[in-house]
Amino acid sequence: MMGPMTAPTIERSRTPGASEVVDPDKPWVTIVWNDPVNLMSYVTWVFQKLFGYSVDKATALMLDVHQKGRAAVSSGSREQMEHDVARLHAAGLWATLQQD
Amino acid sequence: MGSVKRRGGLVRIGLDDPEVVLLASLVAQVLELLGGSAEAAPRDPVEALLTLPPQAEVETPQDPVLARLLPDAYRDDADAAGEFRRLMDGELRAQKCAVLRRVLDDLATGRRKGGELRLELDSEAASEWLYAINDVRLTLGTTLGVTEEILDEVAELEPDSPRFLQLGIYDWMTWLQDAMVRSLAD
Repeated sequence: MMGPMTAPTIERSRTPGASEVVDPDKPWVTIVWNDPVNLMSYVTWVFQKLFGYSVDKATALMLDVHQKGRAAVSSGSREQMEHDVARLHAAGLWATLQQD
Repeated sequence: MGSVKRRGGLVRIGLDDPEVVLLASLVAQVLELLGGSAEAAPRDPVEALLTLPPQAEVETPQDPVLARLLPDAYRDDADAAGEFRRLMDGELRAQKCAVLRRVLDDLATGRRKGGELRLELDSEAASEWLYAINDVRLTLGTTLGVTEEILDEVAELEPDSPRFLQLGIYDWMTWLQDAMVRSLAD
């Protein structure tokens, strides 16, 4: 799923950020951040729907978001994480991606 | 008073007239904010070709509501966030506008019985409703500056204050969304 054979879905002209230079093999993660509006029940449902997680795993991630302020909800290639972030934004969750 | 029930694999929603008017008004406002009209996008392929796409956005919106509906995808990398937005902003707005329009259509065309609008939503339709309702709640919550201590705040408000009424509308949307999510989980 990674390596030079994987065509990026988004072309970039910029130079890579510092975090990418340090270790290009580090996986990327999708982070969901806490906000005062999104409902715990809705966030749990979104995690189940988008990622196919069990209700237990989705609930644990939701509680991490709620109590710790953030949770890594998926990991993989940069392109996969950009896809996940786009889907989470469509659902109204506050999500970003970063290198782990 | 609205009702949400699960029956036969469908989410059944009953809304009285004031609730229909309120919900349609809120949904239409969010739709307008996102740059969509209440009518669906032109289906005529020639017309679609002649309609220039809007200028792709690269900046984080100044409007705090739009900044919440269309958040940055990168927290500490403005260049990457701008590039992501340039490529994805149009599609994200289109997705949000499509589900908002769907709710408006359902509110306008749904079956009426006993002074109520009665909707039967399959799981896909219910999902679209939940996405749309969530964007309405994000809009209201951001505009009203809602915090997680909202219940404490409401308890201290005078019942005839404008904010009490505004938070009451927000609370009703919260109830509707939560009831729909719970009915889907049944």
